[in-house]
Amino acid sequence: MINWGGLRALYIKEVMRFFKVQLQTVWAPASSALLLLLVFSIAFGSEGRVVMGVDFPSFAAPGLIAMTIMQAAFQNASFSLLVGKIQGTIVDYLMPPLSPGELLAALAGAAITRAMLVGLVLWGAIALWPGIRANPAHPLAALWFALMGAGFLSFLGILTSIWAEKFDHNATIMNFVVQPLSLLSGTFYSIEGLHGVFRSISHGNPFSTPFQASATASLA
Amino acid sequence: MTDSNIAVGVVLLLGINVILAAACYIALRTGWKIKN
Repeated sequence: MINWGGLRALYIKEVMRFFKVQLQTVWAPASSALLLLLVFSIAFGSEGRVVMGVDFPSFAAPGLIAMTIMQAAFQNASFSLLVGKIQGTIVDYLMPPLSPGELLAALAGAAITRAMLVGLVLWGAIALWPGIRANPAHPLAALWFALMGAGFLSFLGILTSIWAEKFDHNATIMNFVVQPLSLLSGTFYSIEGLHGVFRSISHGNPFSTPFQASATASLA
Repeated sequence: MTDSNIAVGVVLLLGINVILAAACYIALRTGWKIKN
């Protein structure tokens, strides 16, 4: 028997947690990603550089959206239980009659919601960008990869917040695991263009699946 | 011009999600690091 009322209440509470500071949690990541796209487009796009058969900004856009979605999911999820531990409000998560599955669904659901909102804002902004093809060739596949990418990092974030004892632990995973893996996963280049061992390593990077697949789903 | 297979990506990501969700579930159920 699922406690739908409790699940809904915790989900809404978690959504309110990030929505209260939406400038920082939704608009800021989208704005940073747009700046990255702008800088890289100026650096590479003006030379007429073509990657995988499309101009550079159109190639980088889907991967950039995937990267932003995944980082937003991780940030939201990795703060959830950790804030409770540090502020001593963890009992608010543990005392209510919620099963581990319901707790997990509400936490992951809210993180995925934030990630998808950030992705939507970014996608909307990119759609207005002159000369970029923002409509994915396979919309359902693109949506699936966005949801799965967000889910992946939400669960990783929840695991991090369960394990972490201070914000430093959480930041370590963000800065030394999530950031490098996401930046080196082929957002700004095609993995097929790499040589030998680097290409094999990149194919083994779990973060590259959502990026490469989103690019494929959007551009193919 | 594709550099990854969509079908493989769909299944692989689903697998990663299921494994991580299971790990989270087990950690929450046993109370690892959150229930002392």
